[in-house]
Amino acid sequence: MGSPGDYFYGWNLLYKTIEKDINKKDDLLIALAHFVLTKHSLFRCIGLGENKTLAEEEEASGSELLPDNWNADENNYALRYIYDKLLYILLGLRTEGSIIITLLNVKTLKVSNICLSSEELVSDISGSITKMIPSASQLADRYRRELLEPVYQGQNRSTTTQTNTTSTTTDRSDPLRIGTPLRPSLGQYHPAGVEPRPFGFPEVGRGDLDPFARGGHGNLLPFPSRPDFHAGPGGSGGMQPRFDPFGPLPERNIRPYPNPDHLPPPGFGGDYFM
Amino acid sequence: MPLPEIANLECLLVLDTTSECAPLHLQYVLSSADCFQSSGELLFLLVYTVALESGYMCEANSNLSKAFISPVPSISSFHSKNVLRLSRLKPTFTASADRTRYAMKLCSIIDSRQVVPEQMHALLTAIVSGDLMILALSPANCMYADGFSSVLSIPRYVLNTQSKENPPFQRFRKMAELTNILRDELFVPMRNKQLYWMQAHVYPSLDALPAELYEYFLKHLDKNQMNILANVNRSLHNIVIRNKYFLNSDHLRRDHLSRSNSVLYYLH
Repeated sequence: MGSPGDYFYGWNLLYKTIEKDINKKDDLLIALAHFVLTKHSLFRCIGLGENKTLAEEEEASGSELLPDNWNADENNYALRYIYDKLLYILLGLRTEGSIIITLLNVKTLKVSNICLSSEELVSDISGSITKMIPSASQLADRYRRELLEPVYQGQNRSTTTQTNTTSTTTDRSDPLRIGTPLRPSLGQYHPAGVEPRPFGFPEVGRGDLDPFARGGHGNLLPFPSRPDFHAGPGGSGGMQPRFDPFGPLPERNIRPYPNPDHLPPPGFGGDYFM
Repeated sequence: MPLPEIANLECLLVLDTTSECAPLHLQYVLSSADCFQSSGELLFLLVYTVALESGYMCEANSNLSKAFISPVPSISSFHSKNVLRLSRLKPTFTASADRTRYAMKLCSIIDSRQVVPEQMHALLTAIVSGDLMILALSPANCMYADGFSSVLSIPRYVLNTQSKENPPFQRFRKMAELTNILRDELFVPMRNKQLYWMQAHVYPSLDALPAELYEYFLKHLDKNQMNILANVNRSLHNIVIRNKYFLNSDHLRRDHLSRSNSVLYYLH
């Protein structure tokens, strides 16, 4: 988690490369979408257009820069991205005073969209990011939530931005969940060797998996906390692993005296099945 | 203008369309457009027709149609007379020069006295990219809400045959599937969202019951179950926390909930 300054680190560099091309407010919105995709979600731009086939040489290529003539069309934007060897197409359509930005995963045909008004969001087309787009943090959050998340399941480099509202991890928590999950949620670091456990199940026998019994006692070897439980076969002394007592053993007083089962109960008809 | 008698009861909606017949309102919509249309444009007109069936109309026609549009209550969306009358008006939309981009402003027909116009508006856009049509239905910008989108395969629903003698609906296939996709992914969720903004109940559902009915089932829930219900959505949250059974119960906060025998505890 970082300050807004950290999140937009790298924006100035991108802006420098496209400063001369920008001629309308919508260009900035597309550039910001490109920034969120490439800087924080590891997408790489492989060119312009709507071609849905991914050439072999394109799989290895990709850049964080916007390609030339990216805003040449007055009302349309079409950019191709690659992530995890999959092709995505970002389309922008300027119409009725708004811009509709659509992201399409070409393989799964999942699509997402966001509709924005550049007049409301963009104050200026030059200057620092917060001068040009005062609500840049919230807008980047919206891009991530409305544009990216419906379309791909990938690892974000930074999943939260500093916003005025609560962080995204609590926004995305399941309202039906009770308590905190035992399993770390997707996207967090899994240390090697830690096995995620299902929720709510006690870690019975955890120590058997570990030679140093760090997870508590296991079930394979006798544990010292119950030394008074004598249910082993004669002469074995103490509890044996996975031993199922098979009957009353006269030399071990496991039943109270007198044994209430030594005779059938009074009025017993002889039928065990009632 | 009086409505004609509907002769064919087998063919009332777009989803009933076959190569032999099309519903009357679809024929009206198709007749208002040019005789030679690309598959993409025909599909866009189909999408518009399904929008009419789902309780929308072209915003540009709203002033013209005020006189004859019947308000649609929140529990339904299809009003046959509205659809027939609106289908006679030429749909107003903008199309790019190469006929690959379409945009139409829609307006939900809702019977509500507290109508804020922006809450009812939605922008329908279609991008034709090769064989695909990418549709997006977006609420008004000032609502700062998510839109809905869908991808359709154009040749799946509109065959690419061109014939001036045959009516255009002979090119249509799988209209039931198309209607379901458009309603499920675009028109119904958007309309529900708009109704929610107007605090109109969508249809009888768990969070849209009359207030006095909640008493009847909340008294059968234990504190754990009431906590779960309160976390479903804001509307249910407000209902539960104000209910006397919740206030009287020894309720615990979600994050300090002790283990209970409830199976629900193990199911998340």
